[in-house]
Amino acid sequence: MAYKFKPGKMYRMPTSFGPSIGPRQGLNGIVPDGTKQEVTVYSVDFLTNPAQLEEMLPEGFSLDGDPVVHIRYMVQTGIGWLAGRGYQILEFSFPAKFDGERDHVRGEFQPVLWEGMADGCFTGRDEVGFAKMWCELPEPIFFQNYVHCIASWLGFKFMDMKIYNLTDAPKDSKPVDWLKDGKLLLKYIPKTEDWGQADVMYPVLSVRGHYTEGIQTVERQVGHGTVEFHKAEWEELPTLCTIVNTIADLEKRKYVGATKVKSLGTSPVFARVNNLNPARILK
Amino acid sequence: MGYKFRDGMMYRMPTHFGPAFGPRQGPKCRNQFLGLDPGELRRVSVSFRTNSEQLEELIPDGVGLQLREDPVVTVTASYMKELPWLAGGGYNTLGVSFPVIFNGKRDHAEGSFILVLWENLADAILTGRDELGFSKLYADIPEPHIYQGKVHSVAGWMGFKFVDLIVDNMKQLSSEEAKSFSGLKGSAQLHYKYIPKTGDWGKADSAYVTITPLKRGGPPSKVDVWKGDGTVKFHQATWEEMPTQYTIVNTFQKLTIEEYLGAHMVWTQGGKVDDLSHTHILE
Repeated sequence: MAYKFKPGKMYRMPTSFGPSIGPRQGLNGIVPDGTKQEVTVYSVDFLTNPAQLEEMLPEGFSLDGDPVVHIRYMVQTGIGWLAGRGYQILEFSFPAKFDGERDHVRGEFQPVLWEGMADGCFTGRDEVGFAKMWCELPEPIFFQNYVHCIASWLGFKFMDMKIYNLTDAPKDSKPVDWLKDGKLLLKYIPKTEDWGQADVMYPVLSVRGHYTEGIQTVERQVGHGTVEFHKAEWEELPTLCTIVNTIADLEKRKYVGATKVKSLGTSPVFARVNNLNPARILK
Repeated sequence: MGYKFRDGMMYRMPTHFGPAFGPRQGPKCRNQFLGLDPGELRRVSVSFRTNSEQLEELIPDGVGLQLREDPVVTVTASYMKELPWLAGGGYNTLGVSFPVIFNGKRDHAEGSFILVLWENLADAILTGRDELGFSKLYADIPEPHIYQGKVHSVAGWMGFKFVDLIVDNMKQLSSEEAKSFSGLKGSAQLHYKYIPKTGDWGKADSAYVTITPLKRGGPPSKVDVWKGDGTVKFHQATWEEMPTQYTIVNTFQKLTIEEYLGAHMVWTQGGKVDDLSHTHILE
């Protein structure tokens, strides 16, 4: 007997082996305990030319306030849905808003993020619409007065981030809240055969609570930082060169912040506990 | 000014940096790599007969797919080098398939249903999932060990080895026999493309059967074929060992092996790249 899809359950390819297991749906529907999860985020922010950011915005989106680029290197350990394993993430985002027929939201537009683990890439792409790509993201290097994060793809190093002279800052001091309503994305899946057409294309809000609720900040430091993306030939980064080169070309008008923030726990919104919804389609 | 999608060009997430480069579109144009010569390809393949009921449970209901008479499972590991779309890079795969027929409202076809295809390069996974509907997942797939008439392929996930594929007592075919070897031709491949809908996770954005017809392009410039006695062993995993994939591996581990039906290793050079852009939807 052929199998039937179970109503209300989430599936991903391959669908032949039952409902999918991942960050938003666990074994028997329950996402495992993420209270042991630790995340350390190294972040460097800089002001750029707003016209360059506007060129990355799809229809319906516009810049919101100062053209501040955030580059974040996240070190994660003890991830519940990976049975305690961890991996690194490199994010690129800037403040934007979406004005649609029904929805008006503000937050961080995230044109691309890289992850050091493939399973995280396609769960996030398929289930939410995160523009996740894979690359090598080793553990940061700590030496003398700096921390150094790098990103590479099959040996070609395309990013260096350094933060110098990190010093303790009050944990409870309110940093600038860039997140507002959440992260803004555009989900896009091409249609097989009709190359150039989409099966799926819609704006998505990855909701704020996903990143904040139930998460405890345990350390906060500030320093001064630099970040460089290195331009690549197609031969060096055959799938990533246009992305990396666009970010490398961004004008750096002024560095406006560099922080290290360490936190504990996973949001119940992320894990869809009590049917909380970590993302929704915008209209 | 926000960007507009360019007519006829292929996009994937992230769409914000222009058309996407991959197997079916290069920096110069669509189908840039079709017909170019790749480097060497090694393919290790083992087939066995199982029982029909176990395979039928892996076919989605009501989409037009059904098992074709003989319930033969084929496990194939492939090692590809000098691929044009990766500017000469390569990667390895391990796939599991069985023969099906498709009877739809418009189309009738037969070929191998690709249950899952593990690959050790995330970029190839994302392009294949999004563009073609291949059920690709990530695994560590090191080069095979070949020693005194025996080839041994393995695949693992973060240190857990989940399959051993062995062909022993290998005998090389004469060059005439090799050129006419039926395993060189392959078969059409069928897939079930499925993308969940963001925020409404029990529903699908995309759900349809696709087919990659027989490989196009010319014969390889060099062909060597060995036949031998094959075995394949999947290793049962706990959720803790393979938190995103254990249901898949355990399903294969439980398949009854009634009879091994032959095993071979093929080693080719060149042969014109097929970019699989003739993959299409079946209705």
